[in-house]
Amino acid sequence: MTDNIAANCEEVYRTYGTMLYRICLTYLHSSCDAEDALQDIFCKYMLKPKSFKSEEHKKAWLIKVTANHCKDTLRRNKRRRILEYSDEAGEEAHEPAEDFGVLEKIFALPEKYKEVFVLHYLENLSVLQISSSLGISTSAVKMRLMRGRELLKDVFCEEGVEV
Amino acid sequence: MIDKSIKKEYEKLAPSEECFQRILKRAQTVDNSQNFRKSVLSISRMGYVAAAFLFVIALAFLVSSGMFDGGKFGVYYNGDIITEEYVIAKAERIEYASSGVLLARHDNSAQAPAQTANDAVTLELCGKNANVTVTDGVILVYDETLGIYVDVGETLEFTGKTKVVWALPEPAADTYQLTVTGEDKTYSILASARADKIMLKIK
Repeated sequence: MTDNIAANCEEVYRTYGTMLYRICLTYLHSSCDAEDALQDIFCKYMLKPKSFKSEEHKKAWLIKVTANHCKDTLRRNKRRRILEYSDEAGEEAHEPAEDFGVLEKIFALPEKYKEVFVLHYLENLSVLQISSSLGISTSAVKMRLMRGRELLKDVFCEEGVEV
Repeated sequence: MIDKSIKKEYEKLAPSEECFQRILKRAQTVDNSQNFRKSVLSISRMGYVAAAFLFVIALAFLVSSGMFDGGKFGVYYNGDIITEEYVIAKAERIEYASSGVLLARHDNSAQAPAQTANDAVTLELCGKNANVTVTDGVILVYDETLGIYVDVGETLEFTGKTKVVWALPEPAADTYQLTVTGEDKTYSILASARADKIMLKIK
């Protein structure tokens, strides 16, 4: 990491920022939450002293931190939503959902299938890269990809969209 | 493989420019705070170096001024400097060779030595580039193997702390004298033997 944190941060953002944002969006379903998460992730990158063996190592680290951060955020938000339950209307208070079009079906997948699906088919990561980023075995990655495809196939077939 | 339309939709997703600017701004803040921390650290490091340097200078000054040369110039008995007041010293009995080697400091059944002194006292001389002249008796330097023997009329130079044994001659006379010179001062140490005591006085 260079001494100039701002310059290094900009370089990393330009290389991986969009990818990380999309991954955040996959988990959080909200562009505002995804941007907030992205800022937090880059804060962690700036403040944590680290030395990466290679560019691939750095990429894997960023994806891992992103996935973990988003999962933590989801857990926190879930607890907050329970506490914000509106007694007057008797309805659960929630933010208006964003429409991501055809991606909604992918985002609606269960988390463990969705994350490997997005990383492999949309971010073009290999099974090995996904395995090292998420900390799961390659066989687990393959199983989840297969299961994710099956689920999506069912959904899209119903709507007449080719997957 | 995935449908191109899905991929196209996915690739449209991107963070806003404001998000990038916020991240960059925070990076600059972190940069500034780390640079500040580095400059404070380097200043404090310089402070430690300066303090160490001053300490060395002070130490060198104190050593050159003689502070660690054994203390205040003078003659000491049992840790106390001999002043105008009488200092009562316990008389020792010593046996020594004419070469100056101290053979024994108390009564024992050793072979008859060359010399015996029934009245001797251990003193400590302190000073820098000072000397002591024996007017009466002999001085033996404390190191028992050194064999420095300073006879009447001779002078012993010393710097720092030097333990010596001052042996008073027999038969006992009234007063015996050592002359100590140093730091532009001259003292006379007078000793008077009284039974098993020696009275010491400075003049």
